[in-house]
Amino acid sequence: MSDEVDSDNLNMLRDLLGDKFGELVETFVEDATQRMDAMQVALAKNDLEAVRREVHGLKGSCRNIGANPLGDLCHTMETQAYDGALDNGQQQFAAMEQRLAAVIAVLVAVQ
Amino acid sequence: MNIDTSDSLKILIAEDSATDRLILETIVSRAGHVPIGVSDGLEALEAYKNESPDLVLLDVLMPNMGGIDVARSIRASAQEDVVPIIFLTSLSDQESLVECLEAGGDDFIPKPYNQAVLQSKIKAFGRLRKMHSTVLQQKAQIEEHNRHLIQEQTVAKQVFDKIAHTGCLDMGNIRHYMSPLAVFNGDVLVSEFSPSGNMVVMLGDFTGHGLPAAIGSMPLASTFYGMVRKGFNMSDILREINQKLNDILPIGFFCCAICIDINFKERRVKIWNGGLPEAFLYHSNRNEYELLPSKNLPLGVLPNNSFNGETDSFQLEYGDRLFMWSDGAFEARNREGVMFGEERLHKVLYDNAGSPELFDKILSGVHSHIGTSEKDDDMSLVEIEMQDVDIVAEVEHITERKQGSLADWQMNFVLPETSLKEFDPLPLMMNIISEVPGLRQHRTPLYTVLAELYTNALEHGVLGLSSELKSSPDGFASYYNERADRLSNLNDGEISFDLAHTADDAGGLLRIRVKDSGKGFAFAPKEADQENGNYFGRGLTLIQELSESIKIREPGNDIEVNYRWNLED
Repeated sequence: MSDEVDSDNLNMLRDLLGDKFGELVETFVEDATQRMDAMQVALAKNDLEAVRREVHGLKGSCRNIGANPLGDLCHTMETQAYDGALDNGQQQFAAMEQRLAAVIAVLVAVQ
Repeated sequence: MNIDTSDSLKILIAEDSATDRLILETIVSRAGHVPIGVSDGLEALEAYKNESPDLVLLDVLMPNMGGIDVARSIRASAQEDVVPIIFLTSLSDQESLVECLEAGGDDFIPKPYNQAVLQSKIKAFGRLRKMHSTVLQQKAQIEEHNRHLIQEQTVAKQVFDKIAHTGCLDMGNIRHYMSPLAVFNGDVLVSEFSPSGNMVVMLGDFTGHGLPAAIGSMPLASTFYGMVRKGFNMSDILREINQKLNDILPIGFFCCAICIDINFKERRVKIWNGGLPEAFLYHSNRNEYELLPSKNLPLGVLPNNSFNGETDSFQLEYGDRLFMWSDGAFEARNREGVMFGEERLHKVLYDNAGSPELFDKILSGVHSHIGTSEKDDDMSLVEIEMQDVDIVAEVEHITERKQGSLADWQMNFVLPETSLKEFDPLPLMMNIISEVPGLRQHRTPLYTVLAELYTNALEHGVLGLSSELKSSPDGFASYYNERADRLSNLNDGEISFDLAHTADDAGGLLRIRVKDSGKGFAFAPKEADQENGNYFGRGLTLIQELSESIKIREPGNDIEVNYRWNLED
């Protein structure tokens, strides 16, 4: 288990959801992937409002899952989008993609 | 998991992130509640309308419509039924927190969702919601009761108005003011002409407030009108009302009242005041007031045997006025709670003595004192002026009513031995005699006459007892033993009463003839006086004193008494 996902939180979720834990992982993967796709489009158009909305949604899910490092990346980007000035958005996006892949790996592993 | 269905809440979850929604739904259903998950603002509003949730969890940022707009819309649509709204937002979103509260949010839940925190919040709001709906339910109940009460009061007022306004309050010489509140706080004003053309007015103020106070005015008014129209005099009317109220009102409840009787022909007023503030009688020729304070206890306090119905009489001139009021007049309070006061009221009276506008000045004085705090207008005020009232017009409609009372009549009433053993005929006869207006005042002497005649007929006539029996030391005891003995063994006997009454303008004549089945007693008319002492005891002398004439027919078992009576003025 890596630091990508808080293990206490993950255990708590497994207890809470029981049979539905697999569904949660699937939902998260699907939702996060969709948001990342939408974010990529928004970045290309430099639509900061759309970027903010997507990254905010992803941040919430990350916090709930316990994927705090990814959540922190989201938070930084959300704040910048809100302020109207992204600091090298493409680079931040690439970092988020990497982290998301790691998170998904952890989740699939514990399932 | 312990699921108590009665505490189970329907919880609307509006969250666009599927992951978060799944977690929330799971927490909610694990806690025994029913989740309704939606993924945007429009769906949330739709579900709110269709599902009537008990609690709403709202994400702030959602597609189509944000959480804040959803909250505003819910709050705008809900009337009294306040459904708690909890925003799903990270506490780091400082800028949106205030906006959430202003939109109608009640609380926040930060991400990541903590099961314990969320469940405790749901529990707290569920309890609040339950309390709120109990309050709403009770409020609806109170409103229903209130509506009912107002409806009842409206009906009661209609009944009351019918009773109170059949009188002669619309006569030109009476001015009166009664606040609507006063009526339901137990003030009552009634007035009517007697058959002789006298105007009788009564202002009453029952103790207490509201319905319990107002209800006593019903028997008061019906007794008043019934008796005034039949021509009973004021003392009898007061006595009757006192008895009624004494019977029906609980201890501590009574009616302060002033009753007046105005004779326009004689220009004379009779007044009785029991417990109301002193009335002011304005003498126009002297330009001064005569004060008429209460001299009696209020109606309903005393039993009738200690009730004093005596009235005071005053001579009036045309233009003289009488003012009377209930204590509501000077107890009227302004916003600061200061009463108008007796002093202020008297000042208005003295400053405007003789002014035709005095009545209005008293009213406007009280009303400008209480200002807009209408609630405290509990006042009744009456002014009666001695005028040359056109009595003829009034008396016509009164004579019609007079036919409703007993005037000329006769009756024959026979009691055989079976009734003589058990029955006392005197109350029955007194009842009939009391139906004659004016004759009621003669109840006491008439009762004495009838009682003497009946006792004589029964004891000396039917039972054949001799009053000599009474003269020995233990005579009375043996007399009454003998009386009881003979009465219970009575096999044959009869007493008959013949009563005939004729009315005239001045009063009337009541002829009473009592016959019994006894042997009578032999006597010569000249010896009668000597015999009387033995035969009647002091009875015959008493009857002679009380009545116009007495005639004893031979053999002494048939006595006729003429009782002549005169109307009071």
